[in-house]
Amino acid sequence: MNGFYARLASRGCHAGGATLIALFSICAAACSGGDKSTPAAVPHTAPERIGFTYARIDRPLSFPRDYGSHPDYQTEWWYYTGNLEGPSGRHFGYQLTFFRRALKPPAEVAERTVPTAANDIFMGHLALTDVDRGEQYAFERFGRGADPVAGVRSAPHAIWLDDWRVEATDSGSRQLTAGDGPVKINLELRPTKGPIAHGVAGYSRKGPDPEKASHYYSFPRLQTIGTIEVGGSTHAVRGASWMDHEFTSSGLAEDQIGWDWFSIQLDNDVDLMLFHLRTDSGEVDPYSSGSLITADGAVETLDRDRFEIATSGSWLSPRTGAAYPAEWRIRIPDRAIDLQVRPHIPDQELALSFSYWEGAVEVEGSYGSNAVTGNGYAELTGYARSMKGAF
Amino acid sequence: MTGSPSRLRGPLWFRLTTRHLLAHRLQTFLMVAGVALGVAVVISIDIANQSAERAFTMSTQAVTGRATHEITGGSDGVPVSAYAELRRQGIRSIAPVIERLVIPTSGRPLTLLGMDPFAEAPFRPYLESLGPQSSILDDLLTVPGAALLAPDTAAELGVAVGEAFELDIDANRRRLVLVGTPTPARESHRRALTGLVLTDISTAQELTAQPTRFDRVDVLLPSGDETERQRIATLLAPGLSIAAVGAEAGPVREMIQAFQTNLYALSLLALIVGMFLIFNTMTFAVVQRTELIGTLRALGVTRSEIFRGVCAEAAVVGLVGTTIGVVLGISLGRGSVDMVTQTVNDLFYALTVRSVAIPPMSIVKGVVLGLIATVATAAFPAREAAAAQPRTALSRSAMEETAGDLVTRSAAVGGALLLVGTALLLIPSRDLWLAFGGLFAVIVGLAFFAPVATRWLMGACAKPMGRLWGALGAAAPRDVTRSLSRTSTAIAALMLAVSVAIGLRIMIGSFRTTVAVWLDTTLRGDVYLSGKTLGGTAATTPLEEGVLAYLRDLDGVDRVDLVRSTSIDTARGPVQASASSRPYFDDLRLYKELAVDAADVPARLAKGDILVSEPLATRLGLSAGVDRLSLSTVRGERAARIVGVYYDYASTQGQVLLDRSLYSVEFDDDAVTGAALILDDAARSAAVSDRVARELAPIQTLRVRPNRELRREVFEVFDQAFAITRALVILATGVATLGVLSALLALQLERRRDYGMLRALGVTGRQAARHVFMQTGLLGGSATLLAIPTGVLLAVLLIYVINRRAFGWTLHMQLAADPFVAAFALAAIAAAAAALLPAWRMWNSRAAELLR
Repeated sequence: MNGFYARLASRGCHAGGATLIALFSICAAACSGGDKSTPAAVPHTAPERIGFTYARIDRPLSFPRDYGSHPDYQTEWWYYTGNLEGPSGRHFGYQLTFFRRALKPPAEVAERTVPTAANDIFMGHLALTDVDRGEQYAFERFGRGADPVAGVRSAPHAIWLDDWRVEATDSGSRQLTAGDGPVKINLELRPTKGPIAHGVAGYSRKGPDPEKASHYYSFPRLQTIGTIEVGGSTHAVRGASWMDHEFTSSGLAEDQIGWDWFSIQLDNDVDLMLFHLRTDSGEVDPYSSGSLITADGAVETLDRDRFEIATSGSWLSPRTGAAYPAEWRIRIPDRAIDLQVRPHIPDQELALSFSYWEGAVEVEGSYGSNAVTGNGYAELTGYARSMKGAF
Repeated sequence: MTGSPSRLRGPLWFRLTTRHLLAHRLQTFLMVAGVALGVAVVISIDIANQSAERAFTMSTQAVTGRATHEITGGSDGVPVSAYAELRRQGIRSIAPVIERLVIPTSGRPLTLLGMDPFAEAPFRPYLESLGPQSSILDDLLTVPGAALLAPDTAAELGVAVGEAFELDIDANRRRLVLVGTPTPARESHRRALTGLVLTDISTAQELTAQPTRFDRVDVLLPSGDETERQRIATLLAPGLSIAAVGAEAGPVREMIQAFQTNLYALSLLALIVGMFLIFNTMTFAVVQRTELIGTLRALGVTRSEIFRGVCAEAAVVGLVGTTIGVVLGISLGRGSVDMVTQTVNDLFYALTVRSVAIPPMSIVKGVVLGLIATVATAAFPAREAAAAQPRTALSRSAMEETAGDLVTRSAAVGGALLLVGTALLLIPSRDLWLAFGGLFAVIVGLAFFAPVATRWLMGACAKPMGRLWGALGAAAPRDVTRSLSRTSTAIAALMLAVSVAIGLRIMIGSFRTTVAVWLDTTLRGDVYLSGKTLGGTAATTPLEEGVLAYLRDLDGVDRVDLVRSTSIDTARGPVQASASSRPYFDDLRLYKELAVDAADVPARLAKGDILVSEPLATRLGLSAGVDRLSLSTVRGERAARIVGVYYDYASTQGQVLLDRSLYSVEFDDDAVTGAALILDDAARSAAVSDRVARELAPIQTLRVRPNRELRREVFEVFDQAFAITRALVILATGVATLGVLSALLALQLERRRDYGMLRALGVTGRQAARHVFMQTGLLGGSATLLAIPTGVLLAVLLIYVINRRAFGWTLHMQLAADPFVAAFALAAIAAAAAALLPAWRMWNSRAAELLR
């Protein structure tokens, strides 16, 4: 990616590991505060600037309103990931993400007279992991958040960036279509649970300052059916997807450098969302948390001290030189959950405008006295040290 | 001299040559100067042309970037919805563009380029790095009127980041804010940004008041990806089309190339004049050493050794001259770049880039040309020297005895060249180089008749001069004839230069008169109004309704004629069109061809017939009364009958002239881009023009000019276009002056002893100096006499062959006295300048010195 776009997408980044979301949003505060090498112009875009709304504990989520865009918040993303299988058992992981970033707080947006005028930038990431072939494809695109190119609609829900689209259908499912290069996905996602709110009614705190938080909900399990086209052949696939939607105006706290995030779907219909915020001293931040969603959709919030994520081994990226954990053991002792989590393939690093690891994982272990298996997605940010201070 | 001559010949000849060159510094200087000037002219013109060409490419690339195709929709542009549909269909290598010529409150015009930074990356590589100004993009997208300028352009406008500045965009004054001055890392990218006003596409839409459309959509397709092009074509709404980039720039590029070819050919003429000079001086250098050569031959040096020796000497002279010429050419080139780009700017295209780069190829061309020309020219005297018998070569006058041969042979060569030239000119083709080849052959062929003409003229002069000035008077023409091989080349060189001066002056004069007559027939209004634009291009900005209403109610106005200049689609591609409410059709001088009565033309146009301009008729091969041109109207295709072909010098691409009321229905377009006021009292035009300009200023920024001022502007552009041509004539004359000087010096040196004898017999220094002036006068006079018919012939060829092929314009040849007077003055000045030094030497000479 050339400097122009990297800069426009990133501007204030980043002290503690140039990560996707770091670059795009949450950690911008940390950038402006902590990093001596950050350009002087960054304060301009730091979210501390007056005018954007911060996540608050007393703002409950409401649907369909909150399916849509939140221009009062600086940053927002809609994340779709999933593990799918073809008829012969060929395994695929996919990711389709839309990021929105506001340029100016609503009060500062000047009156414009043409529909192409934009105050939002959209970024899209599309990735496909072809497990049997051991390959991952990743694509990125940007667009102005204006009429001809990109936008979001609450109801009926839709998000689009050029021909990458998510659209609610009449039957209550969501249709995903996206493609680039040799990859094309066309999937129908039917929610079996959710939307469920994380944290306190969707208020997901990320740091000691109450404003260091986001509004966060998920569809933890979407039954998925459709086609995946890769390298000229089309595969009919089915499986399960996970959808996250988060919006915020604040970044990581000053000592936070990145996170390890997991979404796990077990074969006993229980779903797990867990994240560790890592600090620059190598510790796990006390504001790390998670959610356990039972088969009937009930959500139990997991505080930092209720779960453990132990890493073992490492995988060294040949592109960025970053050393990512190669395997995890996740334990929730008070529920007798003990899971071994392994990437479907080691190299699922997305070396796009900024590098992060986002990939399909397989899970096996025990849930109470039962053996369980499952699939999921892991997101590892703040490891690509080579990007540190690059902007 | 002992030992084998062959062992000594290399160093020996070198030593002899060096000694000769050093002993005859003035001659050496003239030879070197001749080569240097010729090479300098060629290089400077080449640099100017290459720079203009590069500027053109970069100017077009700055706006079209790497786009391979573009989607256009005629004068309506491309609707935003059509662009959105393409993106929805997954076509991503497309980028919307709004491009306008805009005019700052002071200074040269700039190009407004509205683009979508997110769609741009593959298109305009110079946008890649906007420097360490990280908030630039936020502001570019969100600040109303936000623009980026290259630092030098910002400095030119005197605006700093964060400050506002004003531009006239589509004749409306708009306020912009400079939000950044990007400085890309690569020099070429920095240059591409110069002269551009970059804005977000939305800002450009606001500035141009077109919220629902773009000017065009750039497309980047892998070369030969016909499938994708087809796919885009089928997705396009009716009225939109996709075409390869360059299709539109084609005619403009062709024109610029024609202009450059003209310049290039003229610069070669200067080199040819230089070659005559080299020939002259080399011949003389050989003649001077006939004794030495005879001695060498007697000592056993072979012919081929003599030949190679003379050629080697020429090569040394050529090398030194070429080196000086390169340095001189580069500095001359810097000056001429301005002239060339200004002309291209005025006549054809707004160049946003005006920097000078020295293309290595220009230097290589100049060097090769200089060396080859010197050695090739020296080959003739070298052969002569080699051909001399050892014994006869010792005789001092041996060389001139071959003069009779020279006259016959050069006349034969001249005749052959004339035949070849005529044959080349008769080949039916629009190729410019072919025409120039023919023209050169004819003109140079005529120059080869200089010896025979000189001998004849001198014979005719001898008697009257003898009667006027006695024995010395009669001797002057005889001296000229006696040294014919040198005097006739000097005459030929001067004649060439003077004839080029005459030919170009006649051509330019005829051009000017033609344009003046044409302006008389077409500029009938007293006051003209249009949107602001550049010199040569028609304004296509519509006048606002308020302006038209104001004009309708204006006192003292007899009539208001309205015109709509635009581009329409035809079966033969997009064509400039002019829809006029009351065109002046009654003047027969306007027409090249007319298929109906002039009086009937308005009625025929109202019925749907059309007129086409001469360049368009030439370009598309259309004739009045025979052909039809199919117009893409809103009601569909209509084959319009062409009733006339009219002269038009405003556009080189040509245009169609239609009836405005019919046009507004057929093309659903009521816009007006220009108005002409016919006043009750024409004497009041200046006052009315001032008043209209003042009173309309709050409504729309327009150019309001009285007839006289408009004409003056036309001629300003015109004279600018020919400035470089005049400069070339002066350079060529300079080279020819050197030629005359060298011929005179040769005569003088050769006749040293004769002059000494005369001085000893009592001829005064003053009389001797007068003798020199007489000889010069004969040379200059003969050259001028010969130059007159040659110059007229050159003018005829330039007007009727070159201009028609290059621009499709018919010029009416005018023979006025001033080109000839000017040419005579030029020759007189050149000859007098050349005579000064030799005459001064004569004046101060002493018999004893000369006789020694």
